[in-house]
Amino acid sequence: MADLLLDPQAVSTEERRHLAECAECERELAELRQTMEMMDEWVAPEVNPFFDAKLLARLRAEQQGQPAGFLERLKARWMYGSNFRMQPLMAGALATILVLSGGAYADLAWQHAHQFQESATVRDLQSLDGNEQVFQQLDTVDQTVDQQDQDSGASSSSPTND
Amino acid sequence: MATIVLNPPSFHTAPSERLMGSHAHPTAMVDWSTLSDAEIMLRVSAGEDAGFTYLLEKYRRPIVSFMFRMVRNQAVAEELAQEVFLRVYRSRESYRAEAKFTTWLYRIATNLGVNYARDTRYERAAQNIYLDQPDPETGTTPDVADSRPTIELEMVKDERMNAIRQHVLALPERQRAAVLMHKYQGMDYKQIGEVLKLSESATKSLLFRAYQTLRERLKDFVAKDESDK
Repeated sequence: MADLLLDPQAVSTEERRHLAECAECERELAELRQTMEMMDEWVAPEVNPFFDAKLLARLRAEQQGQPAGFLERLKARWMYGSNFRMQPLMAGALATILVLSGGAYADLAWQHAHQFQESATVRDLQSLDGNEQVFQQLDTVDQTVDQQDQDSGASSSSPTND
Repeated sequence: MATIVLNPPSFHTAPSERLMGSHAHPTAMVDWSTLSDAEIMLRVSAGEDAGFTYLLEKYRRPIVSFMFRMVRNQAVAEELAQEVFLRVYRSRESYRAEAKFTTWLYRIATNLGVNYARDTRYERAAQNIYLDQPDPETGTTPDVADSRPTIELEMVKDERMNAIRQHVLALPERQRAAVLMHKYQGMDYKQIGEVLKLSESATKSLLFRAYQTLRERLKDFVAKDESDK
C-alpha cells in the first residue's frame, strides 16, 4: 500500500491485480489520495518584502563579525553534514566504547567473583586466629585462678606460730 | 509544490554587491543557473558570495513556506528561515559536495523547526482558541456566527483548513517534517530519507504512517468534501 501511494513505479503486477480485486484496499488507497489532495488547500502566505533587507543586514553583520570557531564549525559539520561520512565514524566509536566497557565489566566481574572466595578463606583464618587468642586468654585466666587457689590454700593450711 | 522565485524585485540591482560589500570576490559575470547547487555552494565556500545570493533567491520562498507550515506563524517562520540561511552561510566552509545542497538546507531547516516546536510546545497549546467554548476570562464565545450561506461555506472551509493544520502539526516530529517535505516541498521519499538520515524503507514507512494518521483524523472532512462535489 505504501508503494502504491508513494512509489507507484515500484508496485508489482501482482499487487496491482490485488488492488483491482480488493475493494477494501481500493477504498483505503482512494481515501489516502483524497486526503493528500485536500491538503493542497493549505497555502503558505507570500514572503514579507522586508525579508531580504533584514537577512542581508544580518549577513553583513555576519561578514564583519568573527569567523566561526573550531567547535562551532565541528558542531555544524556534525549536525548538518552528510550522514555517509558520519555513520562509519559513529559506528567505529560505538564499537570501541562497547569493547572497552565490555572488557572493563568482564574484568570487574572476574575480580568480584574471586574476591568472594578469598574473603571467605580469610574470614575462616581470622576466626581461627580469634579462637586461638580466646583459648590463650582462657588458659591465662585458668592459670591465674589456680594460682590464687593454691596461694589461698597454702596460707590457710600453714600453722600459725603465734 | 512551492514556487521557486528567481528574480524578486528586491534583488534586481546587482544583488551580489549588496551582500559582498567591500569583501567582493573578483568574479566575472557568472551564469549561476548553468551550475548545480552543489557547484555554486563550493564556489561560495571559496569566497564567491554572489553564488550565495543566487541560492538565497532560489530557496527563500520554499524555505519560508516550509518553516511556516512547521511553526504556523509567518513572523516566526521568516525569522527561522533567516536563521537557516545564516547557518548555511556561516558553515559554508564545512559544505562538502557529496551532500546534496537541498538535503543540507532542509536538514538545517528541519532541525530549527523541530527545536522551535519543542521549545514552544506549551505556549502554542495555551494560544488555542476554541470556537465552541466560552472564553475563561470574559465568559463570551468568539463572535463568528453569521447566517449567510457564503459565510457558512467560508466557515466550513476554515474549519477544514484548521483541521489540516492542526492534525499535521500534531504528528510526531519526524512524520510532520516528512509530510511537509513530501506534500509541499515536492521532495520524494529518497530525498526525505537523506534529510532525516533514514533508510529509504524507513522513510517510506514513516510517510505512510503519517498519511494513514491524517486519513483517519481528516476522514469526516474528506467525506464532506466528496459529498459537496
